Amino acid sequence: MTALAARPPVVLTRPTTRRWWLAAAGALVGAAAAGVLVGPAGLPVRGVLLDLVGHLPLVHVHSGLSATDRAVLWQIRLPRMVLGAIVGWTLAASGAGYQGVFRNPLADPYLLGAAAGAGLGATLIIAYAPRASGWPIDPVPAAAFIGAVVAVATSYVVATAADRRGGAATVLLAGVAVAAFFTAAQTYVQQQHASTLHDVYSWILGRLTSASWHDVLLVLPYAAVSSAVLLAHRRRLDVLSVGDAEASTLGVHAARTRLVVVGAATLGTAAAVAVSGLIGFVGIIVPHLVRLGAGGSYRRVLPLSMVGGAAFLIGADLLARTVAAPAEVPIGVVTAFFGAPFFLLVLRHRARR
Amino acid sequence: MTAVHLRDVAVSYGRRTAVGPVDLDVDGGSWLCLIGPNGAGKTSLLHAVAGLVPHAGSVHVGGQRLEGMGPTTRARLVALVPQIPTIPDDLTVGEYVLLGRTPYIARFGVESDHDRAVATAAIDRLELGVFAGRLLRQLSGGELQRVLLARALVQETPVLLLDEPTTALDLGHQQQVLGLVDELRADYGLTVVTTMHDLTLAGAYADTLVLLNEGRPVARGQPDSVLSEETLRRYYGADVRVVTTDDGTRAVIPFRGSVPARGR
Repeated sequence: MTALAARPPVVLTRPTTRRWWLAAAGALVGAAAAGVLVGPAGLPVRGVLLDLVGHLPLVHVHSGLSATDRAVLWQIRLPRMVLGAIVGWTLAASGAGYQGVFRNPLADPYLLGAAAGAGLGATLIIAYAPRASGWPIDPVPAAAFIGAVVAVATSYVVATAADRRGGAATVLLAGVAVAAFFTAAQTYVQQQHASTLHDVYSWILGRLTSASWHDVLLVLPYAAVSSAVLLAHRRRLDVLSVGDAEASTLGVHAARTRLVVVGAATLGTAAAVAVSGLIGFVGIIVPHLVRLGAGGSYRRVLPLSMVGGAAFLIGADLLARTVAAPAEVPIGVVTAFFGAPFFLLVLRHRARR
Repeated sequence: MTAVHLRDVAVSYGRRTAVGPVDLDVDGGSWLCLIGPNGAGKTSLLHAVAGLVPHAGSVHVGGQRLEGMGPTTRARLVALVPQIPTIPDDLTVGEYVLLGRTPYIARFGVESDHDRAVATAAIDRLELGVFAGRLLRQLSGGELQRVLLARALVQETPVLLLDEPTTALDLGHQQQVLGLVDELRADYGLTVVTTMHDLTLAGAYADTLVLLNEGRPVARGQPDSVLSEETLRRYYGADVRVVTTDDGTRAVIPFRGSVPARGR
């Protein structure tokens, strides 16, 4: 026994996780604060803090904010920041989920046609539905949501018809074909209705411009369910990393797990796309940054990507509305324009290590 | 100790029958090695036992029939070390070994203290402690083979299947890994089924050899009855000398021969 006791303890999992949690939480708090405080109407830090505290139950403080400041804070900045956080967290988690089930580092949440389907749905409404009101709900987000879900479901049905076992490669190929088909249809409709080009284009580039609490409530249930299912699969995603056959010898049905994870990720992605348009790159860059820092196990990649994705998108939105103020740059442009070089820098740094 | 019985096991890919029908009995706690030329069906037969390929016939492990059994129950009876494993790039050795506990962990659960204790014990047993925090891709072939063994070991199955466990290893590491398997077999009462190409090593470590040719067993028994010059010439199309060493082991020595390329 003494010989055993003298041995150094075996390290089964990484001890550095806490540091990365602190970093991610710090980034989120920093981004959230900047997202609320920075903008054309300068809000005082103290006033904002007091006003936020004042909204807690049983707390009565006077923030000293003017009625205009309070409107800016509660009707513009906060819903926009919160919506950005939810969309970022959902896209990053969905991207991580896709990368896990397809064992493909380039997988993103739009891979199986979610983007193309949402694009077609939104374009159809913009082109054919009258802009007049009279709809019980805003039809563009609803159509985008349905389009995304239909496209991914089609990919899956096509793939399963070709390969009953639902192998990852077959599903991926089917997704590529379905995405191309939906994109072609969308381009055709767009061509036929050239006057809608601008509307469609600005929708596709993604925006949080008109974010309201209504949007937040719309996306939140889907984001919550999607994230809960993805998080519940964090260990299973690690098991899938050894391939379908080996996962099977470990007692895991890989194709079934893949279907559930893709379903959950698609639900979240479709909801995010519906309220914010197509915001690219978040689903790839954030999980990869997490992997570079905290390692590849999905027990860390998934939750850290959620926090990091929220911080990343709040930051990107801040840039989107400040770099060319008073005009806004589409947030999808910002995520790619600043995200890509940053990612390359990190990769380079890692390769040198 | 747990015996394995195969009855009329046959594996087909489309119209081509790769294996069988094969009847096979593996005594509990013994080591059976499948040998045979390339394409003889060794891996297919092993995969049938592991439940990886659809097959006809039945496989019983300790009296329980594997066909129709849920994957989790099966994964508690049979562990497989594949010939070419899929190595996740960025998992550590510790995390990878813990994956072997999957059959004991609820669908959405994580490892218990007991699971961690089992993994730690296996890592200690295979002297992998210093590697536990390292990434899999940083390991040498011999180290990796021990890690694969550790993952299979923490599955705590009575039956261990190894597909070509020594192919990628040098002479010394081949002996080290096979010696380790033999120790584990003795320590934990494991029933071991392997496929192997190196006939000398197969004869040195296995209790029973089964020679497969075109999917069917054509010779079986103790190594010295199976490893004969005539049999190997006939089924492998190989020119070999089989000599018996001082300790009774059969050594198969290939030499530059005159056998024409074997046609079908």
